[in-house]
Amino acid sequence: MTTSREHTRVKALRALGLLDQPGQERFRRIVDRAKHLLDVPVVYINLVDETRLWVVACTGQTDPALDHDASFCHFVVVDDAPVLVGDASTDPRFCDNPLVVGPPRLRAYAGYPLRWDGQAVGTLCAFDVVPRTWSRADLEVLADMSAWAELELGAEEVQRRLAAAELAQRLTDSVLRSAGDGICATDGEGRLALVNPAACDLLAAPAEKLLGQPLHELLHPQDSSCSDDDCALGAALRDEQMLVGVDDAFRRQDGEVFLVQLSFAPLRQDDRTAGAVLVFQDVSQRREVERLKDEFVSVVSHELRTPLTSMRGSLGLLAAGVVAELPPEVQSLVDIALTNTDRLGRLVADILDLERLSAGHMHVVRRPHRLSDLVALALAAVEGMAAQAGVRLEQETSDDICWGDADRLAQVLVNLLGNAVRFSHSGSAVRVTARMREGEIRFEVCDKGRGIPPDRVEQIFERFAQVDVSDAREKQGSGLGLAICQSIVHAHGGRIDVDSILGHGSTFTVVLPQRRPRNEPWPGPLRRKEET
Amino acid sequence: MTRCVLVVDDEPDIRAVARLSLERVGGLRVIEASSGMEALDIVASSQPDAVLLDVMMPRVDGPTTYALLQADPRTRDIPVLLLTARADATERERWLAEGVRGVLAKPFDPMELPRLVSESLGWGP
Repeated sequence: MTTSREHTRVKALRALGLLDQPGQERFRRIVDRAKHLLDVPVVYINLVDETRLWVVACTGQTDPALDHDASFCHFVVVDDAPVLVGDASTDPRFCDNPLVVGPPRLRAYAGYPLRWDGQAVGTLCAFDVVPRTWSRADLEVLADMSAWAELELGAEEVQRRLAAAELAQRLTDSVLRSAGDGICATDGEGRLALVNPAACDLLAAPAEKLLGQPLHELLHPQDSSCSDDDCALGAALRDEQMLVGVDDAFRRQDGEVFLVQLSFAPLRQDDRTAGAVLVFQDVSQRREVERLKDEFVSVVSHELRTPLTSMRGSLGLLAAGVVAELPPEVQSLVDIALTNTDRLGRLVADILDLERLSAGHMHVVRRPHRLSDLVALALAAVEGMAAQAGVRLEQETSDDICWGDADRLAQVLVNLLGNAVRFSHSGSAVRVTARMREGEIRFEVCDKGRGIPPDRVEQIFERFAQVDVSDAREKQGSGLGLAICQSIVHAHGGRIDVDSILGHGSTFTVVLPQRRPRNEPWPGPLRRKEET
Repeated sequence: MTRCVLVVDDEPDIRAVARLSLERVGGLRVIEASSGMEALDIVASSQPDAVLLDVMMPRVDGPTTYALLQADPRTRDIPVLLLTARADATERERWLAEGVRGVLAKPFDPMELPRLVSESLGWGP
C-alpha cells in the first residue's frame, strides 16, 4: 500500500473515534448473529491501523488479541476486497502463518472489508478450525453483516457531523437574523430563495410574500424607469457579474422608493451558477446628511468669503495707496491686516477644497496638457514669492503629454513649490522636473532646505500637519496643502511621496499613470499656447 | 471714451470695493445694481459695456439674471462676467459654455480685478 493511500485510510479510521475504546454491545450483537448464521466458532469485528488490529467485538474466542502482521485481516484491508480461505494449511499465502501452524491451528477464514468514507478501515471475519467450503449464501451473510457493522461504525461520526452541520446552520441563521443589512439569495432562476429579517423590514413585506418572486422585478418594478441598459443590477443578474458598493433605488412593497447601496455576487456550485446573493442597506439618511453637508459647505463658503472679499478689497486698495498715501506706521499695520486676510482666504479655500475632495465631489476634468505648460503655469504663480525669499527657481521639463486636470495639477505643483520656497534658505535653489518615465508621468520638486525629521515624514500628508508647531504662524501655511495635494493626486489615480534628509532638503515626487481616458481620441500633436 | 461696467452684488461693501478698484485702478466707469431684477432694468436703460454679476444673490441669482439678459435682444450682446465665492470647476465650465465671458473668484485682489476684467473681455490696456 502506498504511503499516501495508507495515510488517507488511517485518517478515516481515526475519525471514527473507536480505536482504544471499550467494546460496545451494538457490535457484540452483530458478531453473535454472524456466528449463528455462518455456523462458525469465531467471528471478529476488527479495525486495522498501521501497526495493529484493534478488536471492536468478538465471539467464540477467550483471548481476542491478534497479531497485526500474522493476521489474515491485513490482506482484506490492503486489497480492499473479501478474502475467502477454505484450508489455510494448503494455501501458499497462509500455510506458514503462526495462527495456522500453531494454536489455534486455523483452517478456514472468511473476511469482508468494512468501509468508512470510501476507505477500508477494518474487517468482519469468521474463523473455523476445520477446512470449509464457503458457499454463496455464506458470502451474502458476510456482506449483510458487514453492511450492518458499517452503519454502526459510522453512527457516532454521522451524529457528530449532523451536530456540526446543525451548529453551522444555527450560526448562519443567527448571522442572517442579526445582520442590519438586507440579505437576499436567489435560486438559479433569479427568484428569491432566502431573505433575512432586515431585508423584510427594508422591503416592507413578510418573507412569505417575498420568497419565490423574481428579484429584479421585485426591487425594480416594471413601472419604474429601470431598463436593462441602465440598470446595473439587471445587467449583473443577466451577465452573472459581481457588483460592489453600487448606488441604486429599490421599491418597497408599499410603493415607496428608497436609496440603497448594494453588493451582488453570483453563487457558483460545481462550475455552474446556482443563484446569487444580494446585500443592501438603506442609505437615504446618509444621502440626506451628505446633501445637508454640501449645502452647509456652500453656505459657509459664501458667508465666509463675502466679508473676506470686502476686507481683502478694502485693505488691498488702502495698502496700494489707491485712496491716499498712508503714514509708515499705518501702512505697516494695513500690510499686516492684508497678509492675514490673504492667509484666512487661503485657509477657507483649502478647507473647502479638502471637503470637496474627501467627499469625492471635486470633478477632475482630464484633458491632454504638455508637462512644460503645467510647470510654467505653476512657476508663474510662485515666482514673486521666490524672488522675495531670494530663492532661485530651476526647471527641467519635456513636451510629453499628461492627461489630467490642469488647474488641479498646477495647484499641486504650486503647493509643493510654495512649500519648497518657504523652507529654503535665501540664495539656494528649488528645482522642479517633469518627465515621462516607463509609462508614468513623474513630477519632482526638490529643495535644499531644512528637511523633515524622519519621525514626522509619515504625518506630513495629514490634515493640519506641520513639521514645527510654529510653521502655521511663521510660514503662513494652513497645514492643509499637502493633504489637498495627496487628494488631487489620488483623484488622478497617482501617488505622492517624499524623500527627505534633515538639514539637507526634501524631494517630493508625484507619479501619475499616463493613461488616456476611455473614448477620448488621441489629440495628435499639440500646439503651444502661444501658437494657438 | 471711458468704458462703463455695471457691478451687480447684493452686498453694498463689495460693490463699494469693486467700484473703487475698477474706477481708481482700472480707469473704468462703474454703475451699480443691488439685485438681479434691478440689473435687468439698468442694463436695458444704460447699455453698459459689460456686467460684473455676483452668482449668489437672493431671489434672482447671477446665472438666472444672465439667462434673462440673454433672452432679451436689447441686452443679449452685452458681455457678462460672473463673480463667485464658490467656483466649482464643473459649474465654471458650464457657465463658460453658456457664453459667460469669464468667471472671477471671491475674494479678489482689487489691484488685479481691473486687469482680469479687461483680459476676460479682450479690452486692450
